[in-house]
Amino acid sequence: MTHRIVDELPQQHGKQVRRFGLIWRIAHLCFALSVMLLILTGMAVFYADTTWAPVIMQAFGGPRVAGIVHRTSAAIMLSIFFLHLVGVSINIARNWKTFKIFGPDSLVPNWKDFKDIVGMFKWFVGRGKRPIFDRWTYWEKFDYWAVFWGMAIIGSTGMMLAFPNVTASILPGWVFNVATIIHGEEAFLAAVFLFTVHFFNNHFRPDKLPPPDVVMFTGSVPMEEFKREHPAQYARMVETGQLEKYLVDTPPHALTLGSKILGLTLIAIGLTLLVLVIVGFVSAST
Amino acid sequence: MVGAISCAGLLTVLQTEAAAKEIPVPLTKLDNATCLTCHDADKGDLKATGAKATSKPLHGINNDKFGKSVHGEMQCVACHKDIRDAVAPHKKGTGQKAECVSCHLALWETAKKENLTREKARLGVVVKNIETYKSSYHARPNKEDPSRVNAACDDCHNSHTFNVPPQGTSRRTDWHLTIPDVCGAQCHTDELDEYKTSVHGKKVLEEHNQKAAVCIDCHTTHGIANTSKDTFKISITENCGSCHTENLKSYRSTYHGQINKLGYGYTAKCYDCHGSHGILSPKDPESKVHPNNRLKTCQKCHTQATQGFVTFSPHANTHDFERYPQVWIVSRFMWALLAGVFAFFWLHTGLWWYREAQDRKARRNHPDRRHPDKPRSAK
Repeated sequence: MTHRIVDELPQQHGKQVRRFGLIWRIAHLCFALSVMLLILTGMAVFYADTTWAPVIMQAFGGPRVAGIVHRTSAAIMLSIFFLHLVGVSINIARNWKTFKIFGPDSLVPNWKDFKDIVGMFKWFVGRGKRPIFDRWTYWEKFDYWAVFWGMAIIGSTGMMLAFPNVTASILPGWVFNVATIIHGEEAFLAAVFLFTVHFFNNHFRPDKLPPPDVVMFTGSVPMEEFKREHPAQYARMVETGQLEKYLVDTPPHALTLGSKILGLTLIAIGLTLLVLVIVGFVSAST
Repeated sequence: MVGAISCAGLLTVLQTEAAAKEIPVPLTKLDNATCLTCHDADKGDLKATGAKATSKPLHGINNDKFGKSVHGEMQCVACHKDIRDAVAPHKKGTGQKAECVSCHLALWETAKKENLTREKARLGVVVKNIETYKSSYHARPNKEDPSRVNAACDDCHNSHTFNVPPQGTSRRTDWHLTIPDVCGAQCHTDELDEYKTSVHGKKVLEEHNQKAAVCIDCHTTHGIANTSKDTFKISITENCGSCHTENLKSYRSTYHGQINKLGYGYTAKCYDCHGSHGILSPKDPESKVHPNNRLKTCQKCHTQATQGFVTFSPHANTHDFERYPQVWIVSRFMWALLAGVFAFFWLHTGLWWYREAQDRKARRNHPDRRHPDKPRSAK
């Protein structure tokens, strides 16, 4: 059924489907860079025992400078997060009448996501077809909400540690012990999750090879890929005549090339950070 | 002919040597017995004798102790090379005054030449110690009298009785227990006075417990450094930690210890909280880390520190539920969270990789299956 509609449509040669607006793409880039700086400066302290940590510290000019870099990056990251909250709120308020909290355009998990998880595992073991995804897959939603969790947990403990005098005037001293553990372990979780699971889902699984997937930098995906990754959304847009609204020209060669270089650079940095963290983890547990 | 040349050569050498001697004295007479006629400490108060005798006390040697020392077989003038006569005051020759370094370096060179480095390993240790000493604070010129160093070998090692007993013997214990006196009796008197009141000092000096720290356990020996240098500040945590291992480990998991480990000396180190020479048990009400005094101690660095600082545990660990229940619970929760998230997603990732790769292979073999949303025909 889906197929017939697709095939009957006038072919959109040289067209792509827009997925992320310019502001979201800039936000993602700044977010990624600030998180990487946070991981680098933070893990150098968390894994102070390693041979690489003092090298990083010296490169920054000592822990005092690295601390300022860490806090500045944290301020950038938290600002982006809160600005995003404002942006989302405005978007939802504007479309309040038509917005469905559990609808396909919402990032709120719905019943279909749970069915999709089960469906994916069935597909993995060869007991079913691959689920048909709409605009946001459950792993994309997880990535999105994981940031909320991370901001709340790492952000709040980081604030406690950054402002100890205020913290200790309200709370007992053991919160420093606890905050240090939570801040470090949660950062470990975030770093390793981003550079393994997030990288795999978006850049390294067989359908995405070769890396990088540049949708987060160009903002749009080729029609073929869009139909493959988000068939339900495609069908929905075709049926409601919305597809035209999202069609954009294939990004100019320079933008695509630049995005690829940028993407590969970020992936290389991420994987390097992953290696550093693994070295730290192994040396800490031996 | 050949004999004549060598004879002439020998004559020249002898003449040169004789010329170097201001007063030719038969050296054979300057044996240890000769020296002891005046310098025997067992004879009580030693005064210089002779024509120009002053009331200057003489350096007394306890011959019994000297005999048992590592240098006991040696002749006095082997080291005191500038002594050329047996009368007071000695007319000093041009020979070198007694000092340890040149002799010990030469002995080691000889040992190396003779391939006896393994048999004379101890000589190698001494040479290494000399090297370390050269960069130490003690080897620097004294501020008040730049002609001498802050402390030379024999300021700590009595060269006439020197004999470090082998490890594990009771003599070694006795020797170890004398160290506070070696450092403190003449030079570091204030530090010794403070040390005597400390938990370490009481254990060592009153209970003769050789496990408690003496000066060198924290300050090291030959490489002793200026305490205001960062390198010392960083190394002292390791030195304390060589006995207090658990506390070093827990310290290393805090920001204080992490920055210290990275090679920076500005975060709190053992002595910043616990004190140094006058260190007391944390249970002592006078201790700097006793709950009553703790806030003041924190405020040395954290000038604005508030009440909650007192209940921070700078040595918390994740395995002692009795003492640190919150830390225990939180660490278990975090481990479970991490294990859960990674178990799920890595399984998800692994299976996905496998299935997607399989599907791609199938699609390559059957071009009509290029669209995964198209119902797959039965296998």
